[in-house]
Amino acid sequence: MSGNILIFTILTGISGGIITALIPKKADKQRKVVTLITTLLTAVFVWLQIPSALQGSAPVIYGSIGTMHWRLQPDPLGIIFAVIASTLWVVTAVYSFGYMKHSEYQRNFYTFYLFSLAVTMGIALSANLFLLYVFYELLTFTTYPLVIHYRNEESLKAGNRYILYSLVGAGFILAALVTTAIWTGGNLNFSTVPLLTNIGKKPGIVFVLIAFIIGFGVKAAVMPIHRWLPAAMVAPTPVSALLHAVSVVYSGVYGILRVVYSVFGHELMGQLNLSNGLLLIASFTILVGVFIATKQDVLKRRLAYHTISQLSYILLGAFTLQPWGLTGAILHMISYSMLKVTLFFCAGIIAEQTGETKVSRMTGVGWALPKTMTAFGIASLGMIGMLPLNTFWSKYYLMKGSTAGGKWPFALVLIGSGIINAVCFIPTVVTAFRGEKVRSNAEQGGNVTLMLAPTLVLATAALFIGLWPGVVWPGVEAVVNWFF
Amino acid sequence: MAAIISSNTPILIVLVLLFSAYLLPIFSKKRYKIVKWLTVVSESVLVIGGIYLAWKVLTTGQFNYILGGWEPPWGLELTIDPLSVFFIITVGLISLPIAIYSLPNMACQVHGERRAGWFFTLFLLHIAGLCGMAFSRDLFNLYVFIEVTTISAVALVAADNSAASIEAAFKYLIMATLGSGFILAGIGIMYIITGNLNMIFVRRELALVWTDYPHALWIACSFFLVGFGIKSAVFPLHSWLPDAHSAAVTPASALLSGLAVKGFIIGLIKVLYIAIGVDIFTALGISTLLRILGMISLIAGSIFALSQHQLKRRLAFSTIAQLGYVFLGLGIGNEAAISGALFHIISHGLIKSVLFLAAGSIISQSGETEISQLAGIGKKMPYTMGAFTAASLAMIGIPLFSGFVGKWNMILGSLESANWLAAIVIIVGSLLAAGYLLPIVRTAYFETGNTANIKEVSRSQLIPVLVLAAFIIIFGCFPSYILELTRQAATMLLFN
Amino acid sequence: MQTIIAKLITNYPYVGAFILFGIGCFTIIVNSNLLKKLIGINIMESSIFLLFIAASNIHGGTAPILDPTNPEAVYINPVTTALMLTGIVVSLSVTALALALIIKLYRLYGSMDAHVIFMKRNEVQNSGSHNQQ
Repeated sequence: MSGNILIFTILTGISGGIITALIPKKADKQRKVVTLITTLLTAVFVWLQIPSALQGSAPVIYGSIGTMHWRLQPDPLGIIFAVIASTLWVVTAVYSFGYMKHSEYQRNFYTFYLFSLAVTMGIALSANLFLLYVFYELLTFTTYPLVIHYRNEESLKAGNRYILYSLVGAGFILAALVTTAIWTGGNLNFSTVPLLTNIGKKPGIVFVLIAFIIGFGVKAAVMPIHRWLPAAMVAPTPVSALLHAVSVVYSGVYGILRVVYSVFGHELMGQLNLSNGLLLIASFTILVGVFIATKQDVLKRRLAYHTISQLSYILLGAFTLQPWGLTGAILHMISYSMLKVTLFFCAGIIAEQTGETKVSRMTGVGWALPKTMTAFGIASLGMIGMLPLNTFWSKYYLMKGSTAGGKWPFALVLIGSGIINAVCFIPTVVTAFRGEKVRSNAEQGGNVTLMLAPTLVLATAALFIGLWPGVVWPGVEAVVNWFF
Repeated sequence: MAAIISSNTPILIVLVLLFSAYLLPIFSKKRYKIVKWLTVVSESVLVIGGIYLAWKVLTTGQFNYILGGWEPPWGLELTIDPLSVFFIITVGLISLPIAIYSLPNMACQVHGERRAGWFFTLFLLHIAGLCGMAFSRDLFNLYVFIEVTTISAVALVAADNSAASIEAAFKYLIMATLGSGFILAGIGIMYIITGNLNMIFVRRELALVWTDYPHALWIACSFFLVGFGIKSAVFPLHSWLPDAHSAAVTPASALLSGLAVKGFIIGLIKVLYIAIGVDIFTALGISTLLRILGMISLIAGSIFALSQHQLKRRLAFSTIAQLGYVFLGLGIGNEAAISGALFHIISHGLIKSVLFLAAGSIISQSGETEISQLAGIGKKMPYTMGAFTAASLAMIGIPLFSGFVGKWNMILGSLESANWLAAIVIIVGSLLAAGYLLPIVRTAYFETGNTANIKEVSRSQLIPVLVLAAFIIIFGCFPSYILELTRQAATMLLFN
Repeated sequence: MQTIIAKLITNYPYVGAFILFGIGCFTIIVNSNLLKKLIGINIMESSIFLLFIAASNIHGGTAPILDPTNPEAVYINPVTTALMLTGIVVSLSVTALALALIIKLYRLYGSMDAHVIFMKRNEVQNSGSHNQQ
């Protein structure tokens, strides 16, 4: 396979976006067809690259912008992110056909939906820190119109906050990036050998690491720089589900993983003695995030704070600097994304079909939306880390990683967080099925089917991976072998 | 014939512009069509000549053109080096679209075709002055071209004869003449010290004797700094710029904000780096001053821009901020920073002319000058606003737009010389740029307002803006050629 | 100290030039009358002409015309004189432009005082924005 496939992967989304922008306003059907084809094509292109990428022999393409070189080549970590994002993009596209049917500004929505896909693919496939930064910065601007979709005052305000946080973060990354470029003599390509291996403990290297972590941590919603994420929940549900539970926040997490393992490397990170501090920040975010989530009455806000907490699971795994910890992190990346999107989809269906957005008013919703609430229940169990679901495995390896590094208190953090998670979600599910069957079944009609089908597919997939974790194991193993 | 043209290109560029400038008024009364053609043709000569010279410099290296066969100490010399061809290309690329934009409707903006003809006389004179400044190697010659540029710029500001623009023009004239006075006094001191006016001879002489006259030389340097600083609107000396650039007619503001102020920076670079030499003025502490001035005007200009509610005034203040980048890059003074600063000159020229032209189109179509009243205009004028958005993103320094390349190199340069403060200021400056530009874009696209009678501008006004916007993206994605020129210019300034 | 004063006295044209330069700058900045500002500009530029001319002057020098009967003669440097002719032309054109602008300003605002013009312009702008609201 030649490197052109990488260009196609990115160009598909861009050209799809341009086509959707050119389709006249009224022709919704054609626009949906284009969207579906574009997302499917991108996903196919990504899936085709899995085998070669896991072996480390992926196609490569490179060039330069002025004095800076860029390079596209998926390595195991990149391809896993690409697969997660591109697959979920297809699923969410189907969901949004149902959800967005009566919404305004549809052309705008689908155009930027596809542009964001292209940019996310760029982040995942780039094998170069400079190119990663380029796409990371572009992601802010392609997702901004999606965040302020409803154009009311609240969403414009949320959009302002999003842009402010992202740009400040990008500024930190830029400073760190330039310093790295100076130290490495302009070579920013990722390989199995981390970039700064030969630099060693240079004065100022700690600041570079901190700047990188702040920069990417903004999008990964690490506390205390998380506040844009709950605000951004004013966006339509597909956007919240995809961007603010998976792709945008994952690009931040992915950036941190890259910095820790591809730029600094676990050996240098170990020498810098920052691991404990970073672990503390991650566990703080885990506990406080999920704790605030239990206090929230609006379901989408609850999910947002919950996202903040869960993202730090991945970071916790990464910061242990242990093979098992990384295993857990990658597994959590895969499994958490499915469950969170399911939860968001359910919240969207509930809001659309019954008009309820607050948890306290959801008594008896389960009788009206039995399938939805079943999916919701399954996903909630997953968030606690129960066995038949995929997150059990990720939590298991995360704990194994923390104890293997002799940092057992952090395993306790995970257990504690599981308990608060149970407090957070189980009552919701129970209340939903309490009371009498006063509400009529609201799961009928074409719209709901379009929204329900992706939800159920994802819940089933989560169960399937939980029962046969071997399906994703080769990918995880390849990542760990790549970095250790 | 071809040989004559190719061997005399540098002077031909300037002469064609000067001659056609003075031919225009003859035709403007009856045959406005000839005015249009003559302007476009002479501008095209500039563009083609600039590209030809750039090709020549990149392939065979720099050379000097001796005017009329008189050797340097007696005659005048034009220099065709990476710096000057870089600026010629900048001038050509930016002024040609501005001319095309302004030709069809200039007559109604300045009240009559006859006055429009005179407007283009000034326009071409101004450009001839800028080209002359880039080519000249003689200090006094430089001064003459500075004056040509300044006087035509003042008259351009006053072109539409309104009360506000006349007032702004007079303020500009007083300040600019004060600046020229300082520059001429500085040249006088240099002549007294060295007995030469040719920059190369001046530097040779200075290298031998400057330790005898450190104070005189410091006075000369600071006179140059103040003089050129007034003309290129560095922060404490900027007071004329917001009025002049916002009161002028749209093409004039685009030209002045995009090119004129940068021409004076090129003049300052020539005097400081070529005539005095980087070692000497660094030893005198001038580069520290440049850095401080750059940082102050970057931050202060941005903050002033944030507080403006009128579209054109906000853009005018942002010019002050963006010129701060150039001064900062020059003050840092290593290869990466200087080439970044030079790249920022071309990219900011493109960006600012797009912004001003688009703003002019918006104001002329909607009649609104306040930012808050632009709500919903993005729907009605999608192409103009699209170009405006691209330019805004470039100004913030988003990768793949031209503004990023310059900023990247300047940050690289400042960190290479371990100047953390400068790097932080550059990054904060781009955040502030986001703060004053993105609200305009947001208001135009995502807020709803009364835009019923607004239409997109005519094609002749749209295409130049789109071409300029396309250049922003092209230079952002493929900056190699320009970057090579600026890099060569930086090495020439530092090591020659 | 004495040597400095001695130097200043021998180079009195330079001292004069710089004093004039200062007077010119001061006039431009301080006076609010537009005509006086223009006069300040002219004083400043004349001081620079003086600086240049004085720089090339040599005591006892003759005009730079080749005289075969006296090959040892010391000539005054003619370059600066030629340059200052150009300088005077430039200064003249600046003055012309400034005068034209002053006349226009007087017609438009009815005053030649910078403060008055500034106030009137602000009034016009404020009332303009009132009309819009």
